[in-house]
Amino acid sequence: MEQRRSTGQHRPGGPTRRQAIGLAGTSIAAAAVLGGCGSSSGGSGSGSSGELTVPVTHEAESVEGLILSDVEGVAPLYVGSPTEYRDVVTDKPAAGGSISSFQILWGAPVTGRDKNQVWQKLEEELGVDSFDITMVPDASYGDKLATLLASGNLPDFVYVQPTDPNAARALSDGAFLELNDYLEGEKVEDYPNIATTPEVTWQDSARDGALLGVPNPDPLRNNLMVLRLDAMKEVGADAVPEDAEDLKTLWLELAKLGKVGGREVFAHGALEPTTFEPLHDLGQEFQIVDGKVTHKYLLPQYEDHLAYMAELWKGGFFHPDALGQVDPELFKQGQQLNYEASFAGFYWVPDAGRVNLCREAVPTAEFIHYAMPSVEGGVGRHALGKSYGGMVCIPADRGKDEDRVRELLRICDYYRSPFGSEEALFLNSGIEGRQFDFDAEKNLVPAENPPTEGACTWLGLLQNRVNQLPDMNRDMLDNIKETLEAATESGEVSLVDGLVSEVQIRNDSKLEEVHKDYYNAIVSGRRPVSDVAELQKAWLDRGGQDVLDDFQKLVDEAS
Amino acid sequence: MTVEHTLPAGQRTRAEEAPTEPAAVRRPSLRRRILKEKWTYLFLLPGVLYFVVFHYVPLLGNVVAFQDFSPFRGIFGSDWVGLENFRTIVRDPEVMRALTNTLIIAFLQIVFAFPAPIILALFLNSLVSDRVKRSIQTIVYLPHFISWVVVVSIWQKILGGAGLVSEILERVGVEGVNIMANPDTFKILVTSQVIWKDVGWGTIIFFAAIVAIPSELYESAATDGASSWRRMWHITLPGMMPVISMLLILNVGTALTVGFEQMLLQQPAVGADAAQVLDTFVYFRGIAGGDWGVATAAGLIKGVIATILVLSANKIAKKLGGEGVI
Repeated sequence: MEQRRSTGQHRPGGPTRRQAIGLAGTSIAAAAVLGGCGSSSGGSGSGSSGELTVPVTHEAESVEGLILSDVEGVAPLYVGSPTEYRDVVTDKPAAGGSISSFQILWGAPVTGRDKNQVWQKLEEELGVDSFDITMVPDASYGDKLATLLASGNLPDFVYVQPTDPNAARALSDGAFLELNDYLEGEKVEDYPNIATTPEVTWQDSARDGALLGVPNPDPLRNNLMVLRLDAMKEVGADAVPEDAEDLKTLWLELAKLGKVGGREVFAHGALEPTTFEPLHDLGQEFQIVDGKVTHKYLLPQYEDHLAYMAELWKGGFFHPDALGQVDPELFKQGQQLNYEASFAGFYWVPDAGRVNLCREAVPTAEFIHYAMPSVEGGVGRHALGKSYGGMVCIPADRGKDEDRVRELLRICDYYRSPFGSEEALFLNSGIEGRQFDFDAEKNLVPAENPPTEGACTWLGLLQNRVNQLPDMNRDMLDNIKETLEAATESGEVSLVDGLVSEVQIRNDSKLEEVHKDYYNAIVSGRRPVSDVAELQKAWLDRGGQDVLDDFQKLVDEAS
Repeated sequence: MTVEHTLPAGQRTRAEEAPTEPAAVRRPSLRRRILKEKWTYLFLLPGVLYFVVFHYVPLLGNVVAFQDFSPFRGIFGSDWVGLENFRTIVRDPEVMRALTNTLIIAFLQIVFAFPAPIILALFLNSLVSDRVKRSIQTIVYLPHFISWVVVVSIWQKILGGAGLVSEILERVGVEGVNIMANPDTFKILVTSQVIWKDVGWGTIIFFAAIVAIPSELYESAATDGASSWRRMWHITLPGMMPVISMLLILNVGTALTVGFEQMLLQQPAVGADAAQVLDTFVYFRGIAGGDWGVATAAGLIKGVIATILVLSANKIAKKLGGEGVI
C-alpha cells in the first residue's frame, strides 16, 4: 500500500481547536508538532505524490429548531421531532446486483431477511437485489472480525473500530482500499452527504495520509453525569457542589440513605475508573508533558485520586459488588443515585431512555446533570473522545473496478443522509406504522412491541450527530446543554490521536488489565494507597514503557 | 506329571491332516479385506473424518506459534519469528502467575471435585426408594445445564456483598462480608462452584459402572453376612475402579483447562493475582490483544504439559495395577 504523508504545516482547526478548548498540562509546541501529523486542505491532492488533501466539508442543510452550541465539539440539540422530512437521495445509489456487509448488531437479533420488512425496504432504497448483512454483537466484534479477516473473503463493507488490535493490524496490512482517489479535496462532492463530514474527522481517521474508510463523525463528548435530585433534597442539598471535596461529602451522605422513593438504593453502581478521573484532572490517557510522552497513571496527582476513591469505597458509596458484576440497569430501576451514560442512553426514544424509565419506576424521581468538578476548583479536566467512532471500509480487491467502488460510496452516501431527511428517519427509526407513528404534534412515537427488524440498518455510518431530546424531557434542555458544554470546554483532546502506535494497540488490553487489578485492590482497601508506586512500576514493566517509547519515537519523527 | 492325550478312533491329529508339502497361504488383498468388512469401515468413516477434519488438520495451525501472525495475511503471508513468541512467554511474569494459579486450581479440582460424584453415586446407590433417588438425581443434574454467567450471578446473589449471606450477617452485626470478592478464598470458591454445578452430571458414568457390577456378588456377600458398608467397600468400589481410573487419567489430561468463563467472569472482583489462569491469559493476549503468535505458543506449551500429565497418570495407573487408557 502506498504510504502517504500530509504536506500541511498543521491541521486546519487542529492546534487551534485544541488551544481553544484548553490544553492543560501540555505544551503548545507539542501541539504544533502533532498538528503536523495531519494535513492541509491546501495540499497537492495528487495520489501519486503520496500526499493527502483533506476532503472539503459542506455544512448539512439545517433543520428549523436545531439548537447549535458555541462550543466546538458539542453536538446540536433538537427537542421533539422535525415536522417535515425532506428527500436527500433522489436517485437509487445502486443499479441492481448484490452487496454485503459486516457490521455490529445492537440489541436483539433481527428477523431474517425474508420476513424483515425493514431489510427489504433497505434493499429497495439502495437499489440492490440483495443485501447480505452479517451482524455480530459488539462483545464478540474482535474475534468475529479476526475470523472474517482470516477467511480472506471480505464483504463489500466492513465496519472497522481502529482501536481493535485485529482491525488496526488489517488497516496496516493493506486489507482495505485507499479512497483518496475518490474522496480527496473536491472529489468528495460527488457524495454530498459524505461531504458533510467535518475536516477534523477526516484528519483523525486518515492513516499516514491515506483515507482507508468513510468515518462516522462523533461529538467530542456526549456522556453526562446525573444525580437524583429527589435524593439530594433528602440530605438537604438542592444543587451539585462545585468543589470535589464537597461533592464527596454529598456522595457519602447519599450512600447512607438506604431507601429513596420506596426502593432500596445504592449511591453508585459499578466501579468505572474513567468516570471519576476528571476529579483530579487526569485528562487523556497519553499526554505530552514538557515534550515527553507520559501516561495519566504516572501523573503526580494519581495517588491523591486513588486515596479519594478509597475514601468513597470505605464510605459505602459504591455497590458492594462494584468490583464484580453489578446490574447495569440499577439506575433505570430507580436504585442508583449517581450515574453516567451517553445522551442516547438517557434520552433515546421516550420509552427507552433511562431517565424516563427511572421516572416510571419511581414517579417522584428528579434529575440533575452535572459536569464533574475538580479538586482544584472549577470543572475537572475531561478526556474528550475522538472525532469519529469507527469507519466503514471497502476491501482492497474491490479497487479493481472503479465503477463498483463509486457505487459502494454512493451507498455510503445514502447512509450518511442528514438529520431531518426521510432517509435518516428510515435508517434510525424504521417504517412508519410498523416501528413508529407520529402523534398529533408530529412527534415520533415508538410503536408498542414493534417487530425486531430495525437493527439491520446500522452499517456504522450515521448522520452527523444530533442529540434528539424527547418533548417530554424539554425541562432538562438547559441543564443538558450547559453540562455538555462545560465538560467539553474543560476537556482536552488526545495529542497522540493522530499517531498510530501498534505497540500500544497490542499492549492495550494487557496494560488495562494490570491497572484494573491494582486499581480495584487499592480502591477497595485490599492494598494500601501507597502501592500506587508498585502499580506504576508494574504498568511500565509490563509493556507501558515500550508504549511510551514508541509514542515518543512517533512524536519525534513527526517533528 | 505327564498326561497322555489319546484320540478317539478314526480321528487324525492336525499333523496328520497337514499336507506333506507346504502350500503358499495367500492373505486376501487389502481391497478384499476392506470389502469383506465394508460395513464396519463405513460405520467408522464419519468418526474418522470428524477427528481428521476437526482435530488433526487444525493442529497444523500451531505453526502460528512461530509467526508474527496477522489474520488478514494468513499463515502463508505472515512473518516467521522463530522462537520469539516462546521467549516472550518465558520473560512474561504473568505466565508464571497464570501457571501457578492453574496448577493450584487443577489440584483442588482433582482432589475435591473429582471424587464428589463418586461419593454422591455411592450415596444414591444406597438409597432404597427409587422415587427419592430419581428426585435427587433430577435436582443435582440441573445445575449442569446452567451457563456459567447464570451460575456466577446466582452465587453472587447468595454470597456477594449485597447477597443473602451478607444481609443475614449484617443483621447480627457482622458487616462487609463479600465472599465473592475475597482473593484469599477464591480458589476454594471456584472449586465449590464446580462441585455444585457438575457433581450430579458426573454421577451418570459412575452409576453406569455400578449397574454393571454382577448382582450375584452382592447376594453372596449378603448371604455371608457382609454389612452394607463392607459390600460397598469390597464390591462396589473395586467394581467401579476401572472407570474411576480411566476418568481420572482423562481428567488429569484436561486439568489445565480450569474453567475459562468462570474465571473471566470473576477475575475483576478478586484480581489477577488470584484468578489469572492459562486460559484467561491466552484470551487476553490472543483475542483481546491480537497477539495470536504468543497466545498460540502458550496454548502449545499447555498442550505439551497436558500430554506429559496424561502419560504420567497412565503409567502410574498401570503400576498400581490398573489398565490405563493407552
